[in-house]
Amino acid sequence: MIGTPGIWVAAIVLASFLVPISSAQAQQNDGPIKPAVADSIRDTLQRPPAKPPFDAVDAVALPFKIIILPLRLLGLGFAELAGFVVKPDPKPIPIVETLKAAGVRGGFGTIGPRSGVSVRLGYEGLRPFFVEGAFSIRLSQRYRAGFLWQGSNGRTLEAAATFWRNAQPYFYGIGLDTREDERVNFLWDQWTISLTGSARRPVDRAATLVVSGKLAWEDNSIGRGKSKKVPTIQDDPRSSQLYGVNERVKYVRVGGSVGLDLTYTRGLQPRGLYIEAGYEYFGGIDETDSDFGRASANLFGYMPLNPRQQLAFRLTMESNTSLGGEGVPFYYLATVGSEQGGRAYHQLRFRDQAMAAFMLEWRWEIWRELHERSRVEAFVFYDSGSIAPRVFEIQLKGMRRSIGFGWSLSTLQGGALVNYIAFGNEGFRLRVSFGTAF
Amino acid sequence: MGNVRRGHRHPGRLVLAVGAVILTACGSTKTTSPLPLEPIAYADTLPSARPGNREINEVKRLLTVSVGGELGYGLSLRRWVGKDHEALNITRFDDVLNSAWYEHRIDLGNMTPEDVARGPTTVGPDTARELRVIGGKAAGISPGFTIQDARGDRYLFKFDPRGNQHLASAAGVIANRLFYAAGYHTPEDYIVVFDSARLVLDPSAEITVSGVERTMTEEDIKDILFLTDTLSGGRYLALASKFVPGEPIGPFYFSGVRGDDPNDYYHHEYRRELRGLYVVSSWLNHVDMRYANTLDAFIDPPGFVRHYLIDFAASLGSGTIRSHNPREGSEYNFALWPSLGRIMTLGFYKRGWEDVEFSQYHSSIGWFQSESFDPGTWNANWPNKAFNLKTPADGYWGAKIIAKFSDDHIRAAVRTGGLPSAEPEEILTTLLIGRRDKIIAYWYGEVTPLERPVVRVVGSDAPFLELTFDDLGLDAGVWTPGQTRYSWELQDTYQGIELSGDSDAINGARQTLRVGLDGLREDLAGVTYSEYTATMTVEAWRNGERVGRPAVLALRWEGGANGYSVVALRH
Repeated sequence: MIGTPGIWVAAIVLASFLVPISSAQAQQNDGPIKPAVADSIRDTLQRPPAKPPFDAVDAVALPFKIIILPLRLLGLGFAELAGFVVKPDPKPIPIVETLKAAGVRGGFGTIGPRSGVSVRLGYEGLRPFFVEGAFSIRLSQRYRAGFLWQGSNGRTLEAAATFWRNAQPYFYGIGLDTREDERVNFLWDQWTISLTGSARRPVDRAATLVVSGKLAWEDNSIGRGKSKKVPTIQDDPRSSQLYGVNERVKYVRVGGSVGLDLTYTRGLQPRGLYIEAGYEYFGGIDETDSDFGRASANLFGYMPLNPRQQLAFRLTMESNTSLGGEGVPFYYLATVGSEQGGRAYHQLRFRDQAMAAFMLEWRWEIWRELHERSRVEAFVFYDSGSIAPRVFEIQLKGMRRSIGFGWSLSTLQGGALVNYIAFGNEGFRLRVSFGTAF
Repeated sequence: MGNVRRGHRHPGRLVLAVGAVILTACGSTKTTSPLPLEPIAYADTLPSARPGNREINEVKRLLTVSVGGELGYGLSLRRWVGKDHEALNITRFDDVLNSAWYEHRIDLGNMTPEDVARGPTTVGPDTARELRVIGGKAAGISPGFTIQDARGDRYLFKFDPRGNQHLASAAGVIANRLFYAAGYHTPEDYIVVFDSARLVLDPSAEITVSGVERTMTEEDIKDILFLTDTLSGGRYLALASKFVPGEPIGPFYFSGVRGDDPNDYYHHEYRRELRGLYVVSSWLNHVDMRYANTLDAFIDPPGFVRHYLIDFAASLGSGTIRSHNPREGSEYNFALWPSLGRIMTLGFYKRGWEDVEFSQYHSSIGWFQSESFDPGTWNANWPNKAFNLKTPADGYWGAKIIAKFSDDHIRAAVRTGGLPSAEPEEILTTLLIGRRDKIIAYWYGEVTPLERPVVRVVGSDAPFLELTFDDLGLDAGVWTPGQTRYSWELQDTYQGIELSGDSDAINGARQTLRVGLDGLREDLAGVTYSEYTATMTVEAWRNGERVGRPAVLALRWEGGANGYSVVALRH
């Protein structure tokens, strides 16, 4: 091996052969070779080309290269386009660091139907107490304060006071025969004081019993929708007299659900079955002349072909039954649309007292992060959902169907980002959302 | 002597021509052809001004090579038509010269197993005295800290993941020794056991946590040490990597050149030692061979950039913080084309690794195998252009280096890893020997492994040309003489000779081909040392099948007793 001294000697020997005499003489009095002299040495070196000369293959390939140039530029610029570029040594923002240290947490998400992306800010410095607020681009808001206890085995208990404004959800009418372009919007303010709890108890090695309960007081009122694109519900003769549009409605809610969790995760792939049934009673209080009950059931199935491919399905049903007075306010009717049984249709597209839906997906992994912390799956899907005044009146003939495909990025923490395109009778929908449909 | 066909053109002449074109256009109207220019040893160590620092933008770089690079490579017309460019910095005998990138070591034939075990190391960190912590890194895949020992030498201390003692440290040091012996510049890496009581936090030490740099605290040291296992008596095992000589100026890329370094002449994707690095990396399963694990250091004086490979902790069975898995070495982390294949087939497109079971021979080794290793399809976790553009000649060059590692060399290197017992050492040695043999068998089959050719003209009345050479495929025991036959073709544009024929391999150290000649000219007018007058292509057939590219020899008519001399060789 020739170390640094050897290299030095080699350079001088090389120079003695190659430096023009005048340069060599100039060096005799100046000690080691200077970079400028070395440049002149390099110019004299006879060696193979630094890169291959342009040849016939390059000439033939040139048109192809021009054709794929946009594709390559897209690839080369992919990092920037996707917003993935991180600057080396990112500079911390002092105020953000100070807020983090003080227990302030922020994030992005969504806070209700058609609320759009929201920004959330919370304070967790006094755990288990919390306070948080969220504001969306479509003017929806949600503010909560309370107490959250999280125990082992998935046990939680939360007491909270909430104000939630859903600024512009759409209402398309009741029944299957409504028109997509005859929609209205409304504003829904809701005050809630609630006590909720849940627990998970293993039944055996493969099964876990999941129970949850809720006791709540709530006060609902409907205002004029904030959307400028469509009329507000108060101005629509078909809908303005529906129960809940003009009344302030208060309920005491008592309910619970029981689920049997037979799922497990291998790698990043969920497997197994989850079945759940619940019932909730809405009892009108004060001036509210309305009592109703809501029964719901869900069955989720994840059937793997192998660690990278699986068939997943969801069966869901909901039935709201009037127990007295005015019955079910329009905003509490069961719905079909978007991730609720009809991805080619808008969220809340179809409403009635009862709904049923079947969603089927073929999922396959197309990429897995090296350290197995996240992966990308592609999926094709078929959704079929319908509504009716009663569950047993739901007919296969009336089902609204969707087909489509998409991809999802999932992480060890759960579904993170989903993007799909769905096709149905009312055209297609391209959607990006947080969290998978099921 | 074998059969001779005068003036007969071999059916596979088109294939042979690929090699011949490398040397010359072979035009029949020319009487002589110019020899290719040769690189110059250490020409890249001439003094230069200090190049600027190269900053890392890892996500951008990796996406660029994974998406843009793979699109360019996958849709390359040159690749489709099999006209990939050969490496450019090669000698007339298909080798590289010593440079700031590479120095011949094991292939010179005089390295002992002790030399391999010693590698680039000198004295190592002084753990008997104070170890001053002068910096830390809490983020990233492998947390650690920077130490200055009582001698004033600086080291990066890195640790094994908790529960996998020896996994990364052993792999890192063993691979360090083998890469160094193969000829690459590497830092001095050591296995050290130190007493945590000797750690002294320097007041000026800073640590980067979540991208934020701040003053380091004793708690930070504890947090880093918490991530690894403790030995008895408050001692810890670490991999200590000494700071390389010179001033670090960032990584090198596997394509293009560093524009501000006048010594960086050959575009990196056309450097033989970087293309051949694929083979060494595949042997050692260094799946993280990418720009981030390279380092350029400016050596001043005299003032030039030396190019290092650093951080070998993701080699062998180690994924640095976990074991490797069957996917690593078989598919890129982001594999554009397989991903597209999966998208288009609803996931039914499968790669071979998906059926390989994950099983470890030993927890200190991790997932490292020989049976499922395929030297021709192995890949690092991230693509790079030098590896993509490698040709059989580059792979063969790398395989020749690997072949120089004897079982004892490998055993000596494995012993430097500090594995917990003789059992994992023996397992790892056996696996490396198995992978070495697979590499030799594969790459020696991609070319005609003809070496040390000598020609001479024998006889005067009925002269014939005798070519003797080593067939490395026979020497390595990949094939037997009984399985081997050679076809050859001689074209002398200077004397107007065109002959071809074939001959069986013979038992013995040297193979011999004899070509009957007549009408030899004694006139040497016009032939200079930078020219050649004839090409001779030799192609090995194994078990009756053509197995690789032919070797192409350039011959110069010298006259006198020997007649011809070999002046160039390409594989």
